[in-house]
Amino acid sequence: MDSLIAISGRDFVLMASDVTSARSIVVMKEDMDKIMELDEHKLLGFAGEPGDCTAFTEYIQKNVHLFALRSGITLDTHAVGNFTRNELAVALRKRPYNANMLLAGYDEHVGPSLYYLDYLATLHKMDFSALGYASFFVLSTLDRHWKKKCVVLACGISTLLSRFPAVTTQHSEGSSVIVFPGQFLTLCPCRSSRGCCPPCVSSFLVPVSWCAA
Amino acid sequence: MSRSYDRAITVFSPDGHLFQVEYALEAVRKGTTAVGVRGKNVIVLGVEKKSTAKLQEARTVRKIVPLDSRICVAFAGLTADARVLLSKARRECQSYRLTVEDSPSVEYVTRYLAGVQQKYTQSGGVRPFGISTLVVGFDADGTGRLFQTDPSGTFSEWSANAIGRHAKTVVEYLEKSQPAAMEAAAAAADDAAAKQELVKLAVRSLLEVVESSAKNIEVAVVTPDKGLQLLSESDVEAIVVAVEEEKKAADEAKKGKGRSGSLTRPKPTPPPAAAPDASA
Repeated sequence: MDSLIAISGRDFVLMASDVTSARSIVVMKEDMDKIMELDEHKLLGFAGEPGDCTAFTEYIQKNVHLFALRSGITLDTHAVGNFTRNELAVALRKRPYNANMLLAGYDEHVGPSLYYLDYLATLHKMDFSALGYASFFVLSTLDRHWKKKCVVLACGISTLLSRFPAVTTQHSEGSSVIVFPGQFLTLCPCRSSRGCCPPCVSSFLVPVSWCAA
Repeated sequence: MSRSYDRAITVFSPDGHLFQVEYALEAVRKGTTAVGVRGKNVIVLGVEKKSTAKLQEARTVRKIVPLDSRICVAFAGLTADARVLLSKARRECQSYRLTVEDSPSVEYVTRYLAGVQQKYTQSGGVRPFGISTLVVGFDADGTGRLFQTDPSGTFSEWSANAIGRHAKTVVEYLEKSQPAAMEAAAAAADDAAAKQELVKLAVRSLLEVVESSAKNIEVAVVTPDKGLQLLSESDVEAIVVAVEEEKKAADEAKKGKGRSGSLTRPKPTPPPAAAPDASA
């Protein structure tokens, strides 16, 4: 089952997911991309029925692009969230998609924002969120530890790292160096698009300096 | 006699004409001029801009528009028809990406556009699109392409072309000047200089038929990495001024030294006639 976590801070949103594609006890691949880039400043992570997830998120992505091309205007995260919710709500009453999503974005005038969407077409703006297995554990710890003061990207990362091994230890190399078999993606003013994928912790910690300034 | 053959667009006249399609071509000939020049890593589009009213927002009138991340169109003819046609093309671009997970090639988009235009010459209850388009862009492998479509639904590929009012004059100018400009672009030190050569060629060719002012010209460059970029009015103004000066210098050289010493720049500027036949 999927694990998807997202944390927003003062000037960034961070999203991480696992990369396994599994059905029952059979792991079919370990390099599955569960975070889609909607545009340069938006990420859409998903968890749920794999087919539904890709079909739906790609449909959303293409429509967001089409809108931008037609109007010359790039939608902000809030608008994309509502558009996605509406598409889900319409589909729900015809042929529902079993897709849960986290939408993270950085808008010039709004700053970072994070939205939670589930297959029943719920839309909520969140400070942090998690989907899938990760949520059983991570939501409570984030609820305890997340602070608005978690302003620096590194803080978000360390929060994420210190919580995440519990979810993914079965994949780690078994030593104290955590090689995280997932992907981290960050959105912050100084770096808009994709982080390293799949990263090891050391290469991943490099981005901290980006946000130091 | 021929009257009865332009009622329905799908009916041929006895001598093999589809009148409505020919009228649509006429609408294109009345439209503002558009020029496209294809270089190695850059494609330049230029269009004549009708002067906007004093209180009008000039930015809301656009004749060079993006279809996809690296594919753009300049058109001549009825703007309202263009909006509809290009909207269909944009939709097709995203639909193509959704189904095959690849960016559409310029030829594919052109073929689609031409296909739609052709349909509107052969179905009942519709009229043809009154526009010609210059479709430009870069394929996935980085090669630049420049296509033209017209209301009948034919399309063809070019290295430089013009459509709209006085297109013939502009094409003739391009035929004369394009090879030299391409050579200059190829010899240029870097991409920026090569781009400048092509932009100048586009502006020079437009100035053959357009009144010389940046207010009447819109120029855009398309590059593989940045897609469509419209040049600002001040940038265009600077180029227009430079082009005018070059022209003047060439003229003076011709007058002053007779014919012998003036061939440093292979730019046989035709008579300065800023506005050739005003009849349309």
